[in-house]
Amino acid sequence: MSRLLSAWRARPLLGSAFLLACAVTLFFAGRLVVYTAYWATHGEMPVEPWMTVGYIARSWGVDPRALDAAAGLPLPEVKGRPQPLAEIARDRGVPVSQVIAEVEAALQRLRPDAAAP
Amino acid sequence: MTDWLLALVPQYGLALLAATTFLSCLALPLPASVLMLTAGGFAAAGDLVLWQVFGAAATGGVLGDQLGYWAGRRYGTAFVGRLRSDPARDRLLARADALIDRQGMLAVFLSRWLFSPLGPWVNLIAGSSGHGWTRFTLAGLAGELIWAALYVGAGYGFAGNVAAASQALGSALGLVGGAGAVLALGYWLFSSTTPPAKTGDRRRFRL
Repeated sequence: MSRLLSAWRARPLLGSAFLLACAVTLFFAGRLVVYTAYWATHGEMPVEPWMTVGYIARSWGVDPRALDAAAGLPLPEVKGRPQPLAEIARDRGVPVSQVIAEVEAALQRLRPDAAAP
Repeated sequence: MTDWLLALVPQYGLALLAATTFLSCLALPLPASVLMLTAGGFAAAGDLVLWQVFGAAATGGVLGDQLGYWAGRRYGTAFVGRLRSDPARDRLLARADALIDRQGMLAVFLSRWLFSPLGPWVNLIAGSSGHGWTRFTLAGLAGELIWAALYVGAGYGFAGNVAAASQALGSALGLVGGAGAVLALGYWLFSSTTPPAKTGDRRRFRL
């Protein structure tokens, strides 16, 4: 500590830059800890039109096929690839908000413990 | 526009990802980091394959770097001069120039992932200032691999939670940058203030 003080006295500008860098590092370290702690318990993503059933299921920790069945969505095999909700809605000729509402309702049934999506 | 791009990922995933990282290395304003995080999430969900996502992102980045480097080499100073007419771009270019001047390979490597906004400008300047191609490519490749691994890996690790992944990654990169500065400044501060054996030539560096 006394070494830092004497170094800082000898070169105030460089010493201040060093202390500033220390503060920035501590700030980011704290931010990392806070975010990690927060997201460890708030992992679920709100349902968006670009998401596939697999993506939503993974985020909510439910089985994707169970979510397909509960929300009445087509399996990925229908087109040979996973489909985003926007595409499913387009094929059905309904607004995407309707498909999202069905998925959200299904998530509520499958994960009654989680907060509403 | 980001949502529209994201909805294309399950269908055109790898090509779209490679095209986006390619274009973002040419300083086009595309959400490459969000797309890499999301593609990592799609890989976690089983919709895409992790190593392919990583490969596509890194390949696009490496090819984009090469185009930037060769554009700099071919059209060199005239091109850079025209870009510098914009003051904001001039500031970025001046920083990239100074970085390359001091530490060529390190500048190329770090501007891929730690100071990525500088990346496209470092490419141009490396090319136009005649920085060796092999050194540029080696450092660029190493940096792009880390860039792709960080973003795709964070997307995968956070199961596609883009907000969580980008906040965690932003903090981690800030931490790395800060720690690097602490080490460099600390070394500079303490190595030259310890009882000096030969003070004479050290005095030049005084701030």
